[in-house]
Order: sequence, then C-alpha cells, then structure tokens
Amino acid sequence: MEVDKGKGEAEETRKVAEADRDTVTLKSSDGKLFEVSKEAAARLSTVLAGMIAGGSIDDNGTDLKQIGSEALENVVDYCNKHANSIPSAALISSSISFNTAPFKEPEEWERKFVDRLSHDALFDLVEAANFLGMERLLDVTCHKISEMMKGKSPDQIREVFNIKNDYTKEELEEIRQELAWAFYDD
Amino acid sequence: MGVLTRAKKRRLEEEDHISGLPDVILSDIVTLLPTKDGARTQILSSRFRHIWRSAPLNLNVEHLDGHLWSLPIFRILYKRPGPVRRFTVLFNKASAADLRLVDRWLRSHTLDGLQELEFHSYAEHRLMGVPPRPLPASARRFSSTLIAARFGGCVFFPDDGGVHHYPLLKKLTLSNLDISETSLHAMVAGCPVLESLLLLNNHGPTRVKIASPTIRSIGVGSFWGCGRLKQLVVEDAPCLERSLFFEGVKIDISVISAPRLGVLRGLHGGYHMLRFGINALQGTTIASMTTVVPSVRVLALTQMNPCFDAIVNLIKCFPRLEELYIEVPVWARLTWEETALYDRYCELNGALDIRSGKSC
Repeated sequence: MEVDKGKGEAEETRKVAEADRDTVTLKSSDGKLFEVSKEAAARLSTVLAGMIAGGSIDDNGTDLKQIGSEALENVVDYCNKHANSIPSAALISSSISFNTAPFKEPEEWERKFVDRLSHDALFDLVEAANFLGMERLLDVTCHKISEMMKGKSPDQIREVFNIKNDYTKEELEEIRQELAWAFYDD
Repeated sequence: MGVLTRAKKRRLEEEDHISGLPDVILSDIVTLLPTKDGARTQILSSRFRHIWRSAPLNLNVEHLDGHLWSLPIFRILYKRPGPVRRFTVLFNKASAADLRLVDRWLRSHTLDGLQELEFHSYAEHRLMGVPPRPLPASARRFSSTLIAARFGGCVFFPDDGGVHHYPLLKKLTLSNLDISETSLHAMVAGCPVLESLLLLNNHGPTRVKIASPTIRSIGVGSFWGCGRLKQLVVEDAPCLERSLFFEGVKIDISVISAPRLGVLRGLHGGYHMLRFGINALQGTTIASMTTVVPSVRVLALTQMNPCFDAIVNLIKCFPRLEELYIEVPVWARLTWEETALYDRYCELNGALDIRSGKSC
C-alpha cells in the first residue's frame, strides 16, 4: 500500500529538495507520518491546496492535529488511489449507469473504498474530509451513510446509528400524522 | 426493565456519531435519500426535525401503474421551506392531463434554481401508433441552473426554433425523443461546459456531429427504425476521454480529432465501423491503416470472434493499449475451444488484460 511506503521512506524523502518533490508529508495527531501525492492532495483538498500554495507545508511532516492516524491513513490512501485511478468507463456495462445516476454518484472503486471501513472509521473519515475541505470525499462518505439509511424503518436507523429518540409520545404522534404519506408503501 | 446484557451495554455506551455531524453534512446525507426515506428522518430525533425541511430535496415522482399521487407533491412544493435540487418525473404512459399537472409543478417557485431534471415517459408510443406528447414548455425555465438533465420519450421542444442555452449543464441524456437534427446540434452547441452526452434511440437525427471543447464522455445507441442515428462524427473534442456504444444496430463512428480519447467500449464486431482519420476498423479487421492511434488505452469489444491475428492487428493499430476486453459470443466460444490455440490463449474466453502489450 502506498501509505506504508510513505511511513518507511519518510527519512529518505526528506533529503530531497522541496521543489523537486511530487509528494507532501502529513503528520497525524498521534505523530505518524504519511506521504501523499502533491497533485492529488491539491486537487482534492481545498485546505491542503491552500497550504501547498502558501508554502506552509513542512518537510518534516505538516501537523494535522485534528486528525488521528487511522483517518489520515484513509485520507492519504484515498488521495493516492485517486491519483492512480484508471478510467472506470471500461467497466460500465449498460446505458442505464452511464448518465442517469445522480450527479455526485461515487465511482465503483470509491464505493469499495468506503465499504471496507468500520462504522467508527467511516465517521472519522467524514470529519477529516470536512476539516480538510475535501468535497469529493465528503460526497462519497455521505453517499455511503445515506445507503446505510435507505429503505430502513426509523427504529432500524436509530439502532444502526445509536440515535436516541428524544421526542415525547405526543410529539411523535404529531410528526407521524404530518408525515403519514411518507409511511405508506407505494 | 430487562437486565443489561453485555451487548446491550456496549451499544448504549457507543457514540451517536451521526447526530454530532454539522447541519450542512447531515443535510447532504438526507438529500441523497429517496423522497419518502428523507422525509421520515424527521421522526428519528429532534436533531433531525429541521434537517429535511431545509435540506435540498431530491423529489422522485414515478407514475408507473396509473397512480401518481401517493406523494403530496403540492404540499411539498408549496409548504416546505427548503429548495428542490433534483426533480425526477417518470411516466409509464403520460396523458394530456398528467402533462398539464407536471407543467404546473414545474412552475412552482420551490423548483427555482433546480440543478437536476429528469423527465421520461416509457410509453412505447411508436409501437402502439400513439404520437408522443411534447415535453412541458415549463421545463425550459431551468436552462440557466441545470447541471444534469435527462429527457426521454417525448417530443423535444418542437416549436423553439432551435435556440438553447444551458450555461451550467454538464450531463445530458436524450433518449427515445422525437428531435430534429438541427435541434440536437443546437442543444449540444448551447451547452458550453458539457462533459457527458448520452444519445439513445432518438427519432430524427441520422448524423450527429460533435464539436465541443469540454466534452469528456459520449455514449450512443440506436435501434432499428427510420430516423435513427447512423453516423457519429467526432469532429473536434480535445477533452474527450471515452466513447461508449450501447445496444442497438450499426453506427459508423468517425473520429477526426480527439487526441485524448483513451477508452472505447462496446464496439460491436459486426455493427460498428470505426474510423480514426483515414484508419478504418470493423470488428477486429482493419480495413485500412496507415497511422497508429496512440491515445487509446482501454478497448472493449462485444460479439467478437477472437483470434491471434486479430489481437496483433489491434495492438498494431492501438500501440498504447493497456487493457483489452473481448466479449466472445457463445457460438464463437465453441469454435474457439476446438482450435489448436485453445491451450495457449484460453484466457481470452472472457476478459483479457494485456498490460504487457505496450511493448508489442
């Protein structure tokens, strides 16, 4: 995996002059170093783009104190995969999936990328993507969360996400009446 | 009150991550849900009460079995404070009264700023001898805000004189439409940032020319019938990366200038003639070839009888090919298995990855 390479070769890459490097090194809140494609980082994250343009990238690892190593590893993995992704068009098998899907639909590899994450890791990644201004990664993670809610009853959704129902009985009844149409099946 | 099992206790101790997300992200998640699922999130907890009301809405109206009205469309359109981002209307068969109603919905101010619009009627009108109905005129009012649009199964703005301007439109699908060649060309020309175009089984245009500085994907498909697409000419498409060909019958494809075209998928062995400048390729037979096409990296062919000579021909024509997919017809598989080359090339029976083919 690209990230492992990042950790192992950090010493060596630091010796290379900043201007020649096509990667940047990021440091998680718990001090771990990760190397990421500079081009992909700048393209996918408005915050990293700003730091790269403003010269505030640290050769020894730019501190990202708000992001833990697991989430940062996923961010870096996502950026590096994005940098190397091959056109997915080759795998599109029908006209239905060509143009009619909602506009921000994730690509197949992005779907797989978030599918393998644990519940906690997924939400950590949402927060990291939000912090770094990564609109595309936010779309992909939000899409995954909405998939987890789709077609489920309110009770099932509360169970999946540990949501505490804080309504009174009267309030619940009022909302249920107001939304009667949404509880009918077609 | 039951005893707290270890699992229950662990669950109670687990955090509610989703309620802690900022409103803007929670809105994004709720927006992605189908209309009813989205509305039902209000009942989860008070945290969610205002999210659906203000989140941009994806409104799906499907009229497939003669009952359209299980959604309180007017109440959603007139009483809900939030905007609608995506509006989908799918008909099985649209009556004149249905279309008048859709026309009224489309005039609602809640739809101002609509970004995605899908209007499709599935009626096999031509087969049933019923003339297709026109697209409601009010659909035009979103031209300045639409980012993605799909129109199908109707007559496309018959009386507009061919004037279109969609300054933000990136994805356009036109399928089973009655549309003139002039209107189609005017529509594509009126989309200065168009990235993706899908043309399927339209009635009217027989020859489509594409000249777009921004287009990245083109998909075409055409069934039997008069007035169907017979020729696609990619005249000038500097950003075009992929062309995909779908179910249907013979289309001639001429690529005059598309220097970044890397993916060609769905080329039918018997039906599609592909020309790059003066190179012409039909199936795996190269009719004439004087120069190579270096941009193509992924090629997927259907209904093709693979043989060693054919592969060599393709690699000669596309020297930078990294991936070649060949869908072998059933009749060809039998023949293939009987050939002496079977042992050596049996992996061709399915998908073939020839990343090493670069050096050939």
